[in-house]
Amino acid sequence: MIDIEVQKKARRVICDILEGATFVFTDDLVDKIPTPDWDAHGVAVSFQGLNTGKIHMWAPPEIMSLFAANMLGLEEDDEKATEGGLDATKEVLNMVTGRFITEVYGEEEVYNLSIPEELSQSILIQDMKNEDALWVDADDSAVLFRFFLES
Amino acid sequence: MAYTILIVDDSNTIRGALERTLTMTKLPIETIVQACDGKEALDKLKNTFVDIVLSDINMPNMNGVELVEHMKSHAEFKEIPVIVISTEGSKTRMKELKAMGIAGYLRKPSRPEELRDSLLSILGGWND
Repeated sequence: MIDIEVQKKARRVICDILEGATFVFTDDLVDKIPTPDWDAHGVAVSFQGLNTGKIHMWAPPEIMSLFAANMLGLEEDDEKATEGGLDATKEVLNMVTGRFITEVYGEEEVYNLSIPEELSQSILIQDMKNEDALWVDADDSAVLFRFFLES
Repeated sequence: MAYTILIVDDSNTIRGALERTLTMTKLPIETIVQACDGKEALDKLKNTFVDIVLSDINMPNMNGVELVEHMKSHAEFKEIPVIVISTEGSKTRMKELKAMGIAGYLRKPSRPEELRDSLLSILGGWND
């Protein structure tokens, strides 16, 4: 299980990035954890350096479109926002990963990040059920993060 | 004087967001050119006069570090200022890039005023 202090830092980074980059305000997800049929798409970024790890992020299509819309200054239902949702979500995770690394491991070492990639739906359930699942309420939508950390 | 800026990032969203941010700075920008990686950036530079390059680091085909290395080793590109805009926060990386001759380094997400101040410090002041 991930250290509680690391979890707190992770949550703070997630909230800062979602609010700062996508203008989506966040809260703790209370009593709104989705059921196993949750319609969400996943992305992943891995990192390598003195420490290695990977972060998964899952979000429903409507919040992915909102990320894109807000980052691009478009209306939520704009076609470009809908089409750009996955790319926007990849970039959100990219920023979360970069910030997480400096918060948890410091600013000195160089870490190489992978290009963000889409996740297979087949692993959504195991991420949802994992004890390290970190849920966030983003504009009344559930967003899930799972951190895989190795020293 | 109006400037031409080249944005280099593999993400459509980031390129679009940066273009929007540049517009919000109200700087005299005439043209914004986009490239999805270092290789495309070099192709654009060969055909377009560019005043400044804003580049990500982590891109396929040719990353930002490789792009800066290439630009600094070729006379036709070496004087073009490069601002790296990246998710990475390593001071070691920043020092390496500054030693290579980049003009500035911003972390994503960067605010319009940060980008504006960085551009102003490199391109000089002008009448608003």
